[in-house]
Amino acid sequence: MDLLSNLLLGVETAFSAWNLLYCFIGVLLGTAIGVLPGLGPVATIAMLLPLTFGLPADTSLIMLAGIYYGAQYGGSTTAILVNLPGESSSVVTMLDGYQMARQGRAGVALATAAIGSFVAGTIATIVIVLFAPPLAGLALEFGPAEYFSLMVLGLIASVVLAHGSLLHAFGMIMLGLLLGFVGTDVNSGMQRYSWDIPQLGDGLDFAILAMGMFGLGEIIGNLGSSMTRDVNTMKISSLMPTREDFRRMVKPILRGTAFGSVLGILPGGGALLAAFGAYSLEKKLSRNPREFGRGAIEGVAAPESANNAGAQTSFIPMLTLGIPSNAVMALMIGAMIIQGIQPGPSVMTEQPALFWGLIVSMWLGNLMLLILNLPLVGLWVKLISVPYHFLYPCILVFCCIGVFSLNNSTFDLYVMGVFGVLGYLFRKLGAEPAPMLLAFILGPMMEEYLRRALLLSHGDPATFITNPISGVLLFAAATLIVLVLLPTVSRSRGEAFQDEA
Amino acid sequence: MARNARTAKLSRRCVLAGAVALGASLSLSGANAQAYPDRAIKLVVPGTAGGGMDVMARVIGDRVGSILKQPVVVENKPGAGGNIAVDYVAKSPADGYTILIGQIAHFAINPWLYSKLSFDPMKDFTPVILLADAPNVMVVNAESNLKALSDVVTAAKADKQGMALATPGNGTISHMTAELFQKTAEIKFNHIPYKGAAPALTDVMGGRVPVMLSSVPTALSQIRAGKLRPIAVTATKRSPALPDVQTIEELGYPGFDAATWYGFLVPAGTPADVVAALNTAANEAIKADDVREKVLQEGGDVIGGTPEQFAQAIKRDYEKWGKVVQDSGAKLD
Amino acid sequence: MQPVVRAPKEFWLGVVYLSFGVVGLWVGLGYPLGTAGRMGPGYMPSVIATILIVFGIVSLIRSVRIDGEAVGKLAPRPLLGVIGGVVFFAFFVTRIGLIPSIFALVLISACASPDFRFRWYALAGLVVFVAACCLLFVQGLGVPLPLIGPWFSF
Repeated sequence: MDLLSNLLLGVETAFSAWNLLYCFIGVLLGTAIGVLPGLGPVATIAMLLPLTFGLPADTSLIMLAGIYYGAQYGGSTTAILVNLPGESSSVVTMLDGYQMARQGRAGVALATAAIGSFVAGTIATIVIVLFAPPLAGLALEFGPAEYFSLMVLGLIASVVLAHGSLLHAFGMIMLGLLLGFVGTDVNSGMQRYSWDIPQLGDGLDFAILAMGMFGLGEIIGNLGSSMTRDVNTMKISSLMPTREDFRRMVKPILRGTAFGSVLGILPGGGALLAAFGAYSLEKKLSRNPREFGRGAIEGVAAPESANNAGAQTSFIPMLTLGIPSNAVMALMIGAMIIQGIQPGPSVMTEQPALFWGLIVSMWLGNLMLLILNLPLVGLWVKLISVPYHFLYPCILVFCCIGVFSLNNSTFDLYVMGVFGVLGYLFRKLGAEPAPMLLAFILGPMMEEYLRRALLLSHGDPATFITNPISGVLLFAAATLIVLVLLPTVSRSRGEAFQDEA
Repeated sequence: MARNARTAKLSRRCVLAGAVALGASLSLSGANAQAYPDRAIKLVVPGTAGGGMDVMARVIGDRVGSILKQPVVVENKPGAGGNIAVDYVAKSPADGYTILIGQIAHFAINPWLYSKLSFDPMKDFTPVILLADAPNVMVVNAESNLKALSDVVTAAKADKQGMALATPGNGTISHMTAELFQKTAEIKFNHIPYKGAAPALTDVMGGRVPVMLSSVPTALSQIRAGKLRPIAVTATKRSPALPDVQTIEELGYPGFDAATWYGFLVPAGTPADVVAALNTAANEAIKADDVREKVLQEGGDVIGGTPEQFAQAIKRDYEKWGKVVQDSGAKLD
Repeated sequence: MQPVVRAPKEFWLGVVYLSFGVVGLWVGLGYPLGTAGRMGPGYMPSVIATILIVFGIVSLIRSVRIDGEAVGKLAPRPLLGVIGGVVFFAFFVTRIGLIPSIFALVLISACASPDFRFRWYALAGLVVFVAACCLLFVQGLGVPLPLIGPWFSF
C-alpha cells in the first residue's frame, strides 16, 4: 500500500539518530522559550534560522517544527503558573488554568494540559497522514466572506469567555476592536491611529499587549493587594489528576481536538479561534457553567487540545500548498527556500522523505514532550513556591528582553509599559482583558475580510448569505447571540446586563 | 563614534576575559591601525527573518563576510514598509559597519507614498552595489479562460465594474506595477490589496480573484505545480526561472519595465575606500556559483557593477516611480 | 446622604469607554469614510468608536442608578516601581548595555514590593541570574543587545 510505504519512509527518516536528536533539541528549546514570557516561537525560529543553514533539509525542518509545537506546550505552563499568555492561544488556557493553580491544583492543570496536548497531537497527526490533501482543499474554499462570518461567530463566542456583566464583556470587545485598528489599513494602505510614529505603522503586537495587560498588570496588582503573600503559600494538594479528573477531561479533549484539527487548517487565526471555540462549547455543554473561570478542568483540557491540534494541522496548507497559515509557517517556508526546496504542492512528491519524516517526527516530538513535561510538573510547581518577591523581578526581566526581541526595538517596551498601566487599571475596575485581547486579534482580520468581500462583490452584502459556508456560519452566530442574550432579557429589569454569561 | 556599532560578540569576549572596559578599549585601539574591516559588519534587513529579502541577505552576506574575513551579522528590522530599517541605517555611524540591503520600494516608491519620512533616501545614503533584480509576474488560475495578456486586457475592458486584481499589498511594487499597466493598457482594475502574498495566492487559486501580480518566487511553486498560469513577466528581460514566459514589453507594450532590484547601501559620508572595499567584495560574492543559483531561484539575476551605476539606477527609478505613484494618487499617511 | 455615583467601578469603566470612544471617533472621522458597500478606512473605526461612546453613556447612567463595589485604593508604589523599571530598562538598555540594565530593572522593581530588603544572598542570586540571562538570550538566542553598552566604553 502506498500510504504504508510512505509511512515507513517517514519512520525511517524520523528515527535516524540525527533527526531524533534534533527533534529532541527542538522540543526542548521550544518548551524553554514557550515557558519564558515574551519569547515566542516566531522570534526564536527567526533567530535560529541561520543555524539551520548547515543542517540537512529534513533535520532542520524537524527541529524548527519541534520548536513550534514545543512552544505551545511551554506557553501553557507560563499561562497556568503565572497568568502570562506566551502565545495568543494560551489566553484561553489561562482563564481556568491560573485559577486552578491558585487553588493549589497547578500540578493537575499542567498534567491535564500535557495529556490533552499529547492526545490532540496524536490524533491530529493521524488526520494529517490520512487527509492532508483533501483538507488542504478546505483552505482554498475559504474566501473573504467565509472568513468574515467565521470571525463574527468567534467574536460572539468570546462573550461567553467573560463571567460577570455582559455590558462590560461587550465593552471590552469594542475596546479591543478599536485598539486593533492601530496600524496600516490593508485595504487603503492608510495608517490609522499611528500618531505619526513609524513603529505603530504595523499596529500593536499581540505579545506586547498581552505582556503589558496580563504580565505587568498582574504583577502590579499582586504587589498592591494584601494577598501578595498567599499567591504562593497556597498548599499544593496534588500533582497528578485523579480518576475523577481523568473522567472529566476525556470528552473536552476529544471535542477540542476535533475543533482544533479543522480550524487549524484555516490560515490566519484558525488555531486561536479553535482554542476559545472549544472553551465556549465546553462552557455551554457543562452542567456547571459557573465553574468556568474558577478552575474548571474542562476549561484547561479543551483549549489546550484544540490549540495543539491546530498547531499540527496548520502544517497542512504549508506542506501541501506552500501557503503559510501563520508567521511560523512563513518562517518554515523561508527555511525550505534556504535549503533549496521549492515549497508548494511538489514537496510531497519530490521530497517524500522530508514530508513523511516531518509528519512522523511530529508525533515523536509530542511523545517526547509528554515524557519531558510530566516529570517537570513537580519542578514547575516548586518554582512558583519561590517567594513572589524573588519571582516577579525575574518575570519582568524575561518580559522586557522577550518583548525587545520581537522587533529588536525598545519602542515596544514603552508600549508594554503603557498597557501595564491599563491592565492594572482594568484589574482594579473588575474588567476582564481576555475578551478584549481576542477582539484585538480578530478585529483587524474581520474588517479586512469584510471590506475585501464587499470589494469583490462590488458592494453587495448578499455575498455573505448566498455563500453557503458563510451563510451557515452567520446563522450560527445569530443563534449564539440569541442564546447569550436570552437569559438576560428574561430576567428582571434591575438586574439586566448582570448576567452570568 | 565607532563604539556604537560594537557588537555583542566582541564585548561578550571581553566580559569573559574579566576585563570589561580595559579589554574593550584595547581591542578597539588596535583596530584603528588596521584596514577595514576589523570587526563584524551589521547587515540590516528591512523585513522579518525567513522572508524573501532575509534569505538573500543571509546568502550574500555570508559570502561577503568570508571574502572580507569578518562575520556579517544579519539584523532584522521589520515594520512600516521597511522604513524603520532604512531610517535606522540612515542614522547609524558612517563607518561601513552598518549596511542596509535596500529594495526599489524603499528608495523609489516609499518616498513618494509617505509624506513624513524621517530620512532622505537620496541624501542620507551612499549606494554600494546593485546586487540583483527580481521581476514580478502576472498570474491567473490555471483553470481560468484567460490564456494570454490580450485576454486579460479584453476581459478587463469588458468588465464595467472593474476586473479584480490581487496584489500583496498597498504601495508594494506589485501594486505600482498594476497602476503602471493600467495606464499603459488603458484599462481599469478593481485593486484588491492583501496582507502579503500568501492570502492573495489563496484567493486566486480558489478562483475568487481572476488575476494577480506577484513576485516570481512566491508564485513559482504554484506555477510548476500547475495551479497557476503565468501570463507575463513585468521586467524588460525574461525571468531565468520562467524562460518561456514572455515579458509585457514583448507582448505589445514597448518600454514597459517594472522590475524590482535590491542592493547594499551605507549611510552617507562613509569613506570612499570603505565603499570600494565593500563593492569589490560584494561583486565577487554574487559571482560565486552557489550565490548566483539562489538569486536565480528567486526569479531574478545578479547584476553587480560600480557604486556610480547603482546611484544612477536609484535616481532613474526614483523619478520614474514618482510619476506613477503621483498619477495613481496613492498616499499612505 | 448618598453619593451621586453609587457604583464607582461602573462609573470609571464608563469614563474609560467614553474617552477611548471620543478619541477614536474624533480621529476616525478624519479618515475617508466611504459607504457601507465600499468602506473607507474611517468607516469601521467610527462605527466601533460610536458604540463605545454609547456603552460609556450607559455605564455612566447605570453608575448613578445601581449600587456597586468601590474601586479600592490604587497602589502607587508597585505601579511606579514596575513601570519605572520597565521604562528605565527601555531607555538605557541599548545605551548602557544588558548587564547593568538587568541589575537596574531588578533593583527598581524590587523596591515596589513591601517585602523588599537588601540581602547578600539575594545579590548573589541576582549575579547568577544576570549571567544566565546573558548566556541564554545574547549568546544562545542571538538577541542583538550589547552586554556592556557604548556609554561604558572608552
